[in-house]
Amino acid sequence: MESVAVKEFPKAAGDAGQVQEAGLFTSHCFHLDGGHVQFLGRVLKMQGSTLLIVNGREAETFDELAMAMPDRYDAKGKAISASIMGDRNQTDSSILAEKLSKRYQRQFYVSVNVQMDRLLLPLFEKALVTYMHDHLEHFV
Amino acid sequence: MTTSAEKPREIGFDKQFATDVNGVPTEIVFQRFGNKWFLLATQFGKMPGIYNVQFDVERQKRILPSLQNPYDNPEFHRSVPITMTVRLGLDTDEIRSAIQFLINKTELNECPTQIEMALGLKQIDGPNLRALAKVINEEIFLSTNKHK
Repeated sequence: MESVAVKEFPKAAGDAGQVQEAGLFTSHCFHLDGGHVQFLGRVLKMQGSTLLIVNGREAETFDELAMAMPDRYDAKGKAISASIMGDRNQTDSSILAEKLSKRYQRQFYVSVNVQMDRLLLPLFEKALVTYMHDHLEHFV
Repeated sequence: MTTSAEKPREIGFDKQFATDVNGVPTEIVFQRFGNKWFLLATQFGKMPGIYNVQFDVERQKRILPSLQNPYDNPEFHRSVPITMTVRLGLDTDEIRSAIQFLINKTELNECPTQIEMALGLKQIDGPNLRALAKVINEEIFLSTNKHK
């Protein structure tokens, strides 16, 4: 016999940014305003890992996915990464996943679906890190 | 560059909820992207294997619905023709059967593009898959269609 029951959890008072719908996962959507380029981020916090999907504001796609995790045998806490979707070489997704994984010592799945150049990428990373620092509970 | 938190939405995806599927806590996330759909259903509390599902006959090109759509009849069953590619995780007959079942039994087969499906079930069998298909249809597609 099949049985189904959806748990409904009320939204946390005063928190317009996130609803914890039952269970273990929480999700969050945020905007990074980069002047002429605006980013839309979606984050899913899971047990021990985080999924981060970044897109432009206009069209959302899901082309790349990379995963990185801390290397437990590396004394410096270096992260190792792998591409799951998209280009098999080093991509913005894998680079960002490695950085986040190393910084937070946590497994990160990252999907960056915006074409970025050498000027835009550091600005984006800085804005993202700032946002994550201010809203850490959504990410780790 | 400045950052701002604009968050009128309740959750970060089209759908994100937890449910019990035959008594097993299951986390489900669904998002429609422009070029594909993303469905995550896991009972392990973390990202399971990821599988890409491509439809052999695109929805817009299904000029013979009787041949290219699922036909749910015990005597004349017919599956939706799809091609699965493993992105991450184990490639087993069970998981492929589960994906094919969910495609046949849910409105996932209405996807106009392709699906990235992250599926992690502790036990793959008929009752569990039917329960999960029911959840997908009712909590994702039925509630989405209500708002259209």
